[in-house]
Amino acid sequence: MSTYTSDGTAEIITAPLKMPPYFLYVVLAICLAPYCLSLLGVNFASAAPPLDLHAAADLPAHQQIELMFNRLSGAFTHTILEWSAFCVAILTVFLAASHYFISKNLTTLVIGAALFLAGCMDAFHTLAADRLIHAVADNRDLIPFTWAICRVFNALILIGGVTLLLSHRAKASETTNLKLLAVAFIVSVTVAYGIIHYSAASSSLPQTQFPDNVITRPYDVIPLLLYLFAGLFLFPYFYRQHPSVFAHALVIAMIPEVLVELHMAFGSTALFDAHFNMAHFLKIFAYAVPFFGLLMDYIHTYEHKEEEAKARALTEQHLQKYTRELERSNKELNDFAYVASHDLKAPLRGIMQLASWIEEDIKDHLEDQTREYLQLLHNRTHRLEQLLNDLLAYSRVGRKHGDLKTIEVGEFSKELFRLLNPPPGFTLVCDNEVPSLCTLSVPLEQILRNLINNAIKHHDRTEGSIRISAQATVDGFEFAVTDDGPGIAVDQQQRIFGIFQTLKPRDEVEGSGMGLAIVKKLLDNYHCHIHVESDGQRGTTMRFNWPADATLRSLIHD
Amino acid sequence: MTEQNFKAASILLVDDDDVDAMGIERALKKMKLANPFYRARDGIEGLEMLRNKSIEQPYMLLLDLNMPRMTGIEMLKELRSDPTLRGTVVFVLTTSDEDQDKLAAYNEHIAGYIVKTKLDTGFDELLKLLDCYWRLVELPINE
Repeated sequence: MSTYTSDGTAEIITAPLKMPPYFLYVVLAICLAPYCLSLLGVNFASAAPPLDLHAAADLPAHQQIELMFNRLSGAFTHTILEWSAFCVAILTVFLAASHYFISKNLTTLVIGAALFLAGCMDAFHTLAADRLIHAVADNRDLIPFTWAICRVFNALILIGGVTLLLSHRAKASETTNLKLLAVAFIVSVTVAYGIIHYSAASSSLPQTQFPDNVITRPYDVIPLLLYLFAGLFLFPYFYRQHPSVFAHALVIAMIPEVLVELHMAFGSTALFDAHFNMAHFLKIFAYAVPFFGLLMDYIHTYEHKEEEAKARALTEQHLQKYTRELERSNKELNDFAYVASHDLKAPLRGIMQLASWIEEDIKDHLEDQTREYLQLLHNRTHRLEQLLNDLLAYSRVGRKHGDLKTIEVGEFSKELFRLLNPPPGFTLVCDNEVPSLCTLSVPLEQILRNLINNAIKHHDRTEGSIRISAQATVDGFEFAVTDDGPGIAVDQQQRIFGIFQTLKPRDEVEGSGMGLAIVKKLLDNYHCHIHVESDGQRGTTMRFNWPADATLRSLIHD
Repeated sequence: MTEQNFKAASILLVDDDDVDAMGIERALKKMKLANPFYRARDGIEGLEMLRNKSIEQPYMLLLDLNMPRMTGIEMLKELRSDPTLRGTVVFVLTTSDEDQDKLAAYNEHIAGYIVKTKLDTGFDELLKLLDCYWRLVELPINE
């Protein structure tokens, strides 16, 4: 089974979200046990013989009290049973609150609070029955009547809580939810106390017990129906909508609730009789079932959180491993650059020097052919040196950004053009819409220099015109370097950005094939792109975007 | 002009590359310079020669950076912490044009940083510079 977390990612649930199967059997066994035992002859009633006041008048005081205690055993049993149920409700609400703080799952908190509310009302009912809070009504009417009200209240508040959770779609903030819940709780407690107080103070409560009817306590039919509805329809539906161990336990908890009401509605004929006590005992159990459910859910949530933490730690470990790997490979690359700069260049220089000394020493005896070979040797060693230098430049791209400074695009490009010593027939035109910009001039200069240099170097005519344009865009600038050279065939247009790629033999056009690779790497470094526009017949436009200064600033800081 | 300036300063080359050593000897011969020339193959050998006083004073050091056993930067640090050798005039002569190498070398108070690949016409220019240097600049004499 899988569920979805708040951020929408699926996660694997290792254990099924329900109570273990044996739990249901244990609940069924405990629910049926009192009735079965009573069929076997066990008497659960606690009705004592009537107290003969006249006979007792002659007895010593302590024996009188003992007789009174005996007479009140039913009331004591009632109080103990009710109070035990209330205690379970208290435990439940505390566990629910702590569960909520781990899982942030409102279900447990709302149902926990509802159960606690019902428990509070049971407690008021008991206090009124024991005359510990003001009560004038006859207990024979008050206890069954407030009992029925408590049960209806209990059923309604559980149904209300679940309905609230089912209808709760909007993702209100945590504090708003908690405030709403607190207000609802305080209002409900007040209402519960008010109802009990009103009933206890009333001198004309309706008749609630009809010992001669099939339905001995008709008022208890209402909660019975409510629990049946909740157990058969609402709570299973809720469990399907919000699967959790606790929601499953809530469904199971309806079994003792229904049995409680069966004992009362169809069994109990008088206060403190066997069915009355069995119903009260089962009510404790009805509180205990969600409590155990909450406990199981708590353990489940804890284990789940632990597994998540383990998975996170594992991911972190992997991440660290990859980071180390990356650092190592970066270092290797840098080491390679250094090897290329020194260890390869040093022997190459030796070869160049030795060749020139040989040439110097035997220049008077050289044949034309040998002179040409020596010339080629010089040329090739120089080319190798250039390749190494450009490879080094490529590997160094991105190490330094330089500083932001304001440049005049036109003047900047013309200066670059002049420094490249173009042949006399070449001209540079700037039709920049952006007169000046504040930018990282070092990488921009490197990019433009390479592009202008390519336009000159690969031109097939003695006269050529190069145009540079700069435009402002939504998120920065767009530069274009256009020439009227031979163009680049469409199928070659992607190849040219690779390292050591040239489109002509190096003997025809001297070049390492690193220029555009360096340009591309520089642009990648600032998350920019370059593309070629050429029909392969005449003229090429190299177009690239360039970030605004704010973007550059944030990139440098990263 | 003091007496010492009539005596040509010695040149100690600390470099593992034989071709470079040959290049300097060749340029010395070609330019008819009479400076005594010494050669060490790494920092350890260079320090030994300086500490044995087997180099005629006054002298200048031409130091490569990337060498086996003891690199140029390591040797510079040794020199600068040695009370008798700390004033030695050192020119770094290397293939590396890495900024970090330049910075590290100048931090050890070198007289100049020369990149070999910039010497287009062999070592002639370098030796012209050194010739001018010892004639004009007063070199330290170690006790």
